[in-house]
Amino acid sequence: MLTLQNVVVRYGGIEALHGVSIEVPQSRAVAVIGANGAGKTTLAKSVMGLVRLTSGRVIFQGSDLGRLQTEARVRLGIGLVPEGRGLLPTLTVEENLLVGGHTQKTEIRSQLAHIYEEFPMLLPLRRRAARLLSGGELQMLAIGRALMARPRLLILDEPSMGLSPKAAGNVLEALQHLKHAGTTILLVEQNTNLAFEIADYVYVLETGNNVAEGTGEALTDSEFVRESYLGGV
Amino acid sequence: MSLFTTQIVNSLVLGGVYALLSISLTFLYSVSGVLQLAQADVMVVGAYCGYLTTLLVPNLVVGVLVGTLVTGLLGLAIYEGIFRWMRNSGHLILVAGLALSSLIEESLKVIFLSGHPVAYGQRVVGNGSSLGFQLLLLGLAVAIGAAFQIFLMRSRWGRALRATADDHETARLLGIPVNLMVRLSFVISSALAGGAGVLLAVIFQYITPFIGGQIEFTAVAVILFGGLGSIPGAIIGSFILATSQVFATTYLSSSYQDAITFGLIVLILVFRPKGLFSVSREVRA
Ligand SMILES: Nc1ncnc2c1ncn2[C@@H]1O[C@H](COP(=O)(O)OP(=O)(O)OP(=O)(O)O)[C@@H](O)[C@H]1O
Ligand SMILES: [Mg+2]
Repeated sequence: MLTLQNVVVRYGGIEALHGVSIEVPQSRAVAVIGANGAGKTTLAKSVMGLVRLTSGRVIFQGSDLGRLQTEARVRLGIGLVPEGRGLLPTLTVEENLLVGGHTQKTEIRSQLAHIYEEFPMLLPLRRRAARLLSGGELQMLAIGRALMARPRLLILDEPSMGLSPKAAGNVLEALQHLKHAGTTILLVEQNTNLAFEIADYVYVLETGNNVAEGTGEALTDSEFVRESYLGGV
Repeated sequence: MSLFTTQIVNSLVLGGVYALLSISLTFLYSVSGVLQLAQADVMVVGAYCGYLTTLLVPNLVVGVLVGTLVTGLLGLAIYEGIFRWMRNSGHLILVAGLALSSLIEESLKVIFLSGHPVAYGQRVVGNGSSLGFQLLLLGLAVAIGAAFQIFLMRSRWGRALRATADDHETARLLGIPVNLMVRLSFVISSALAGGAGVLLAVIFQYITPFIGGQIEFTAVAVILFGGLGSIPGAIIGSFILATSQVFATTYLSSSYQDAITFGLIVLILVFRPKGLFSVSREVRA
């Protein structure tokens, strides 16, 4: 469904991605793990058109996205839950959700009801300003908001960042639910446990290079990954 | 009517017009990041449009509508001609605003008899100082402000504009055409200023190309006072400033008016540099 071919991204003099290739098949969950500064956020942004590719290609459902605007990519069915959740602080919870459905011409209300069903914790908060939410509530809101546009491919950038184990558990549950419902997921994470839990296939990114890939089991068996990313367990 | 009551009504009317101008400035700033220093001159263009319209149709409401429409288009031209090319230009944006301000002022001078004062005819404003007429002015200001507020809070595009004001990148990620929103904010804010200009010309009882300059500082004081980006702050700030100006003019002397405006600016900059009602943004996770 999504293919990155030799993606290179440069910020001024620094090259953040040195030619990364990944493949996300339809209705699967793929994770990209890596330490701080590995280039995970840059990778997610390159799919959304928020950073310009220096070279390489991003292909979604068979067509090269080229220099397509971010808005147009959203309309094609790609959603990103950004790092830090992309808070819209002055909007209420419900307004955040409605604005998430901006690209939808019809059935916004039924989609809203559906999101409240999926994330019942948001319902009693609907009139509250988003800036007053806790980290866990905000993450659920950010995911629910991205789902308002009914994306075919959902990308999440470190959704478990700064969350308690319980809140991270809620995120995991929501992702599993989505996956079973057929949404394709690209998860970008430092939290290897969460990544291995949900993903069918995992890429390991290190300072802009794809250094390892495989299924969860294959990677947990690999000496290199165990030592670098799983605390040597 | 006692002098005191008259002054209260006058303060409300003047405050309503200041509020429209400051809302327009603060709204434009929060969506586009541009502090448009020529907005008061856009307001004067609105005033002239209202004047010309009422020569044909002696009705103030029609004047306000035409003033709003023409300045909305002017806002679009200002964006396409200038500010579109000045993203991330920092302080140069302020310089561009000042340059545009002189450009508009000088053009109006050329068009309108070297800027000789003109005034709405009796047929339009009648006895302009009657209470009924003052209330009509206040009603028009409130109607413009309320229409804007309802659009912003209740409509799909109003929501998209507020999302853009909160965070451009997030808005983009939700499929909102951010460039279009910025363009729209220029159109809407200029239209608001233009509508307010028609009313201002009635309050001042004359129009020259320079009345913009007179209230530009007030508008900047108001948004500093209320906190840049805060609409409630802009409204409250407008009424506080208008009241102090009206009462200073009545009970002291009109020359104290500017002193009061600048005094308030200094006090705010010293004690509340972010304004009385600045929106707290530090919560961004
Ligand atoms: N806008 C930018 N300008 C310059 N350099 C940048 C910019 N954004 C990121 N970088 C650099 O690119 C590299 C990759 O950054 P990126 O944010 O993609 O990493 P990350 O894997 O998401 O890290 P983290 O886990 O801390 O979020 C880093 O060296 C970073 O300093
Ligand atoms: Mg990151």
